[in-house]
Amino acid sequence: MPLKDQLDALRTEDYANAPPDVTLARQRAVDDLIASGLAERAVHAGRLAPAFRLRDGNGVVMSSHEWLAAGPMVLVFYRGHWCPYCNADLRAIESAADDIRSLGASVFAVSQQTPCESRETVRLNGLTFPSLVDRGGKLAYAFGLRWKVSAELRALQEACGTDLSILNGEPSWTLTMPARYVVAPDGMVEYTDISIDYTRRCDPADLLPVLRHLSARSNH
Amino acid sequence: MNDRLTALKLFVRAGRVGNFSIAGRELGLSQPSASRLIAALEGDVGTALFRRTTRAVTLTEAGATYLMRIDAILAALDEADHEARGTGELRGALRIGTSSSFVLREIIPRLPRFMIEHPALRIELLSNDRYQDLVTEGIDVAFRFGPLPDSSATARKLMDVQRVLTAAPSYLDARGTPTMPSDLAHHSVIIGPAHLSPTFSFRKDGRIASVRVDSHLTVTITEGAIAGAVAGLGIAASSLNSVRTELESGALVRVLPDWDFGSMEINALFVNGKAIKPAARAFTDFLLGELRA
Repeated sequence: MPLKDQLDALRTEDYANAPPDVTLARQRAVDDLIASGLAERAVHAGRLAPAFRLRDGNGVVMSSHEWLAAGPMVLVFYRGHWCPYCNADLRAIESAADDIRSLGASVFAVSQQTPCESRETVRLNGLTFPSLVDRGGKLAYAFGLRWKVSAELRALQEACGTDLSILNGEPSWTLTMPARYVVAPDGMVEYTDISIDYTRRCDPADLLPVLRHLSARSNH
Repeated sequence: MNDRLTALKLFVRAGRVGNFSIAGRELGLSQPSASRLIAALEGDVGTALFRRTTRAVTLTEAGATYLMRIDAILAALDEADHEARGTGELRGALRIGTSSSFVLREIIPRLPRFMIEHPALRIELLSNDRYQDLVTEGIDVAFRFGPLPDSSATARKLMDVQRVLTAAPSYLDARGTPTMPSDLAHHSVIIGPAHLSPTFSFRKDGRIASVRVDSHLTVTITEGAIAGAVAGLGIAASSLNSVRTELESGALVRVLPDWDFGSMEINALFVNGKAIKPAARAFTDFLLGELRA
């Protein structure tokens, strides 16, 4: 099933099952994000991608500098495995991972989750790419994707058992807007797709035209 | 009396552009006549209004204060004449500043309807796709797109216009039709004043997608970018208004019509701190009525 259909099904289920006040609070959070203009100010195509040196769930250090030397990079920012939309998203990326790699690109997922939760995300979704630990969302902040959860939303999440201070291992209660970045070997962002509404994600197939173009360019 | 009035009008223009010869030309005076009139004015007023150097002419402190007062007086005189006339008929000169696209497509086609109502009004259209300095260019009202560069002008928003991407059918046949923003990576975009960077951003379904696009052609006027698109040279970004004719004739088609490419404001700009000429106000109201129709 295409990612869009999966997400639509999840959303329908959510509206049906979640109490109205929860749905309203989540919608309000999305509306606030849209109103804040945060996504407009995030790093977009045509800018240099902030560099990173992060560990994956197993403590192995990955550096953007090293990996870009080998080819373009696909960076997938997500919230956590506690978010069913993120799981669907990551599984869709996994389905496209071979295609992405055959075009010479590396794939990295990034979230604010602890190493333990990052490992769990990889295991749960059968990922063949690492999930990097962005503690405190410092990299997300550099990309302009990090936002602070409102008191209302926090109360709801705690009630649902999603305690971000435990899942992310620090008390800031900030989250990362889901986003995909295609970064060229020279560090330039070639393509981005930022989800202000966390229930909507771009299909991984959308990344392929850009990667093909980069691959063709590097062959000249 | 008329001599004194002419001298005052000349003084205001010379004070703004810093040049007697240019100011004189605007009023149909030779440089020597202009210099003479200013000298006579300084004699009448009893103080030097200008400091003359080999390179330029600048206002003295007294001249700068005098300029502000005289400017307001001339504007009030203009209003008084207009009111006394009582017919709403406009006279004198109206200097309008705007971009190439807007002057060709939106202003000039509508001018006959306006000018027939005001046969005694002389209109000067100053078309420039780059920044126009309202003060030094003596512009009474400027119609500009996009965000305002600074707060040096008083703005009255006319409307929002949709931004679009367009290309010639021949270009799309040869290079393929993009179905999503990332497809643009394979395409060539024509860079013009309406969109200066090779990055395009789109909104759809609660997401923002942006893509870097290659460009092989840059043009300094929007009309040039549109002509380039019609000639099949690439994809052009512009306001919907700027390509309406071409879209209707089929010379251009919309690219990625399902994606929101944003909008921009059309603003009427007036010089800060200066009374708005009746002719400028009347033309702005006229244009607004026409655009909204």
